[in-house]
Amino acid sequence: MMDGQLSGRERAVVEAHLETCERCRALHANFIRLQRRMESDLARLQPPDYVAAGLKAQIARERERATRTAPASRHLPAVLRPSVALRTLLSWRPFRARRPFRAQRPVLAPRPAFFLRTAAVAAAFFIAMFSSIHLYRLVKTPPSHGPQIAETVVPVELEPIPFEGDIEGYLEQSAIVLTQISNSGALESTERPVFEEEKRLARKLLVESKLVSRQIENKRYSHLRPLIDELEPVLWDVANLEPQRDRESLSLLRETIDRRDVLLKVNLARSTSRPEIRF
Amino acid sequence: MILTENQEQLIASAAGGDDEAFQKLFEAYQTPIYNFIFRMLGCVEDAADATQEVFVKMYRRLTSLRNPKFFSTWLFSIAKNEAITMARRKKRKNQSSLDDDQNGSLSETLVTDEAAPDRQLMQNEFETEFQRILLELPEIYRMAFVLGVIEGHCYEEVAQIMNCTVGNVKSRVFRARQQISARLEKVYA
Repeated sequence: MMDGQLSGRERAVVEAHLETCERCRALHANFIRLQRRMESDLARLQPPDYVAAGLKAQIARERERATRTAPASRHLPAVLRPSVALRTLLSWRPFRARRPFRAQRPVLAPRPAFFLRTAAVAAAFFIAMFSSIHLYRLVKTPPSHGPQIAETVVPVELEPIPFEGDIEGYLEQSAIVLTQISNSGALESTERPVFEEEKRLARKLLVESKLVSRQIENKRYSHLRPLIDELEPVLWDVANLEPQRDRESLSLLRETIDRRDVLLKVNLARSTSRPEIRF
Repeated sequence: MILTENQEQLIASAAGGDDEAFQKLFEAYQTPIYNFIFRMLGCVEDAADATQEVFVKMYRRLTSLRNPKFFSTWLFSIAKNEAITMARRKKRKNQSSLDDDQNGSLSETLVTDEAAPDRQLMQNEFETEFQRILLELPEIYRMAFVLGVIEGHCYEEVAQIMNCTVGNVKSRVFRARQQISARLEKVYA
């Protein structure tokens, strides 16, 4: 009644009571006197100026600190920020044993429904979990194509080793070796063939054959691949040739060269520069 | 309670970092907050410090305010907590600074210290006596009386601020009023 917060009906009831009760009437009179005295004698105090100045300075410090130590998460939407997610989780009913700060959230303020809050927490949790896993995978394993090779295998050099000579020279020297072997049939009956120079040359060509193999990966020489592959076993036979002890192997080698037309193919490859030629 | 028309817009702007909006809110609420805290503590320095702290907390937490309609209640809740914290801190400080004189009891000393109003600002004798009596009241009576009678909040708002029922507020205001008027009657008898 004193504060004017009674309804009309309640006020009528109180006034009726005051008419009959002397004790309450005296109390009411005291209350009215106090109210009037308060209204007339109580000063409305103004806060000192240093409150505003101090507040301004403190907020400036807060801002400076915030910009200096801003977490990366401040760029995220509010719902994804760890602090917000944690606060939401802690305000969840099962975790809220006591409510000491309830007064700071007005009772009449509409609260999100229980399932919405739970869904938000669960979504934040799963997003954080999957993001972490994805980030971990990105950091741990670089993107690759095709089957993975065990990490213990030392990868071969990716850059092709430059071939010091050239394929034409390789073919030319191969042709010399093969020509000498092919022409050995005329010498066979009259003198003992040695072929030391050819064997040395064959060994050299075999060493270079790996480099040649890499060089022919280039499109320009890719048509030479079958010839190089066919040439290699012949060169091995030449390098291991022992004509003094085994004349039969020399004749077999000669037959192989003739049968497969190896010398012809090498000469043909040397004489033409057309990449369309296939063997 | 104070701002009505564009309060929500002002609060939204302040929450978004608008300094001007924050300044307007501060100007509108600094006096009631300061008076509330002063009536609760009885010391201008403490009231000024607590008021400043209340608005710093408002700055930090404004984005967490869900419904701008309850801004006033929310802000006074912060002020209430700040006043309680300040009073406890002061009590602890007084407790630790007590000398070894065992003649006076602790409670007497605390009541005397707490009940000493800031006389520099007391305009008249009534105000001095009133503030002294107010500080002698139990904290919950004092808070309900200051919020509901001096600051003019409706009982629903006071209940929200104090985290109790409206019935509790009514009874606390009544008892506070009863004790104050009885003690003032004694003083001026």
